[in-house]
Amino acid sequence: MSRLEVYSPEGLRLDGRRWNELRRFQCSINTHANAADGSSYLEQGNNKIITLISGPQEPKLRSQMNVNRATLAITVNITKFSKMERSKSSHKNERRVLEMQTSLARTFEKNVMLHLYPRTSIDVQVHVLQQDGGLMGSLINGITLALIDAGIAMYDYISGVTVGLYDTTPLLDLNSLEENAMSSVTLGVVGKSEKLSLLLVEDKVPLDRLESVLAIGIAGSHRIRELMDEELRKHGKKRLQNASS
Amino acid sequence: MVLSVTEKAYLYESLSAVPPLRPDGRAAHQFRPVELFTDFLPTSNGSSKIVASDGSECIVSVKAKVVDHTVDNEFLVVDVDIAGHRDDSQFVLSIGSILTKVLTQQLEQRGLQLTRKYSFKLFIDVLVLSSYSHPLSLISFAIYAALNSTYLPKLISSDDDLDVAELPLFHDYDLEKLDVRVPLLFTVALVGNNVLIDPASNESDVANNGLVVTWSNGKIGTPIMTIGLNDDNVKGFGSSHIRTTLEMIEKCAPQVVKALDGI
Amino acid sequence: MAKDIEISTSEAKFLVEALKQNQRLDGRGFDELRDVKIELGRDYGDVTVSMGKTRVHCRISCEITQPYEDRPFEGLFFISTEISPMAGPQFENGNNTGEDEIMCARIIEKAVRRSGALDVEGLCIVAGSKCWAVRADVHFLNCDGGFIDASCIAVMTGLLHFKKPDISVSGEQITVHSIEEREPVPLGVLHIPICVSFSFFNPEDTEENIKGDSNNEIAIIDATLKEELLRDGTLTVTLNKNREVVQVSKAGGLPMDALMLMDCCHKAYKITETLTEQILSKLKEDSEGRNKYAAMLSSENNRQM
Repeated sequence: MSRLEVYSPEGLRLDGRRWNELRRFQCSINTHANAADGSSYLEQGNNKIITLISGPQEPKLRSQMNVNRATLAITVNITKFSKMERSKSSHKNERRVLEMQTSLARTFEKNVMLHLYPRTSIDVQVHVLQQDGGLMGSLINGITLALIDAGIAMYDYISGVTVGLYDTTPLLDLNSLEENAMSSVTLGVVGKSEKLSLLLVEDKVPLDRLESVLAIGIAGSHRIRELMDEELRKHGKKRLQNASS
Repeated sequence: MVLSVTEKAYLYESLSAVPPLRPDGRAAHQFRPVELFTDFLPTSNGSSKIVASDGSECIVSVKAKVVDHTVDNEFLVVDVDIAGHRDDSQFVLSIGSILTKVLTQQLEQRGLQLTRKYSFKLFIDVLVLSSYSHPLSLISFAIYAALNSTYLPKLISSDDDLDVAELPLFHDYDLEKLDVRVPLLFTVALVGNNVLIDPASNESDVANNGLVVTWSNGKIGTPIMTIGLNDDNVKGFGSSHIRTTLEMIEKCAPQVVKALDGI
Repeated sequence: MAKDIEISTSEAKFLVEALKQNQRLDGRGFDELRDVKIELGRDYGDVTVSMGKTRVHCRISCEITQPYEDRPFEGLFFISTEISPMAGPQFENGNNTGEDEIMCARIIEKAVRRSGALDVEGLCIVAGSKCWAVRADVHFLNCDGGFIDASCIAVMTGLLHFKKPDISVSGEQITVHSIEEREPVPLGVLHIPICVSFSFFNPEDTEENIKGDSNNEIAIIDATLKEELLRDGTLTVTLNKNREVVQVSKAGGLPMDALMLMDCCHKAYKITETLTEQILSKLKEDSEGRNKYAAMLSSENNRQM
């Protein structure tokens, strides 16, 4: 992949987007009503993610029980067929995946009102059916939706997005081709605020450019929050109609 | 689901009555409704998702890769991942090995052969998101649907490459449907003298035994074997059980095949 | 973690209350780093770094092996960061799947290895068949917080200090010359990443943190173990003195205002500058000590004097 093609002089990216455009974002909740207490299905570009939440429920092991608050456990299952080329190893127990799980758990621990559910466990399972860059952001969005569907009390939405820096231009919501060609920053933004719950910079970014990258990232995350909110309200209206009729 | 002793006794009595009374009102040879979707993963050659009415869900992806079959004579890999079970647990390994065995035996390798040197190797990845009763039959339906919706690149180079060594060339966008006959697996529960197809989780809990029957090429095939559906009610079974089971499968299987082909 | 260290409620309250009044238990300011002490051993690539009671030892070694098939022109570089119970009772032997251990290992990996601090192409000897494999073994001797910061300094100083034996190649035949025979060769270090960790405390309730505009959160640099155990969130910034952000990891924890995080990055840059200076001067001092007679034997003229 030559570096030139990533962002054309006319301001178009590989998939025809401009620098500040998000990928197609589609989500739905309550997709696995019989299998879990809360569930969501998210498509962000070519990322396809199923999130299942069971809980708050009695913990399987007594050692996982906390008398003051709920225990939040997140398992990320990246399927072998999730990329174009099938991977030979299952990604469980890879340090990269363990790091993701820890980061996600720590992100949501501060945002879910865990103290309302003492002595319980909330188990989140995320299955990545397909991935195409910006995975961490999509995982955050999927989990937020599923937690809301499960009716678990949260302070606010957390929305995530990945921003890249190409030369001096920040590019919003990277796909995997772009992610491989440039350094990327992943953000997890709380609600409509400018507060970051998660911030990961994976590769070299000039210190003085970081601020502009964060600015576009926060704007993108707010847009994703709106899209999720729209879908949730639509779903809620439908549920309400079904209940009253 | 945890049932009390009384509930179990009640359930056992009603299931072993003649005719059997199943909790959801089904007849002995009746399946629960399933929803099936195919071809939803663009990065796989074939894919399917099956959702049973109790929320059991299974996703299958088929990916193909060109290999030199003179070096690598395994033409099929089945990989099973069941959420909530470790990959090296007995349960997952046994399901994986049954599927590998059945598919390797029954699938025709000829459909995958490209040239005299190269052929496609299929990677069948099974992901069970949630399962309440034994997932084997559900997985086999999903694999059936996935393989029947698998499209592979069309070969445009010659199929004889022994004289001139060359790598196979494919058409840029034309695809060919994979033409294979896929075996199906049916699970039945044996309760008293009755045989119940597609046992639900509560029925599995009180079953005396379970049987898996293979259906391929329009007739009953091998293997036919027992599976444990629970740990405490297991009993032996007689030849009449097997006879009833086979008769039932012979009657149901063509309808299932027809339903699955209709997608 | 094998056995979590527990802090009594009164102690925890005291610490947070003190922070609210701009006081830290050890009397440091919020933006004040503990004194970093770097000791170099007799061998090349033997470094001990201490920050307060935290002590980390790093040993660099190398051997000749085969490169990976898909990267024939690159040498190998490993960093091993296993924390043994030597550092403290909260660590278990041979079990490095604890959350903190994973985060520590991954951040060091990203900061040093993935950022290309070591020039791995320079480790290639014969393309596709022979190359140097450089190992950095980090040993955590005592834990009082700031493992990531200390081990990053230790690894980078080690890499700068280390010298691999000289070799001569004739065809496929390689001769390794001992240190006595020929002057050993230093490694190609492309930049010096420095990690700076911040710990966040929330002086008010959660609601104020998430919904409010006060942004009263407290950020302290280089937390001790006690502060680490009580903190609500952490941020590790890795920078080099070319004003490049090499890695940032704020893996969840207390939500923080973006501008405050930017502010932290700028503070970290100042620290990066001084620490880089300190590492380089320490190395210079060491090399002067090793070549006491170099200046005397040099044929260079003292023109200016």
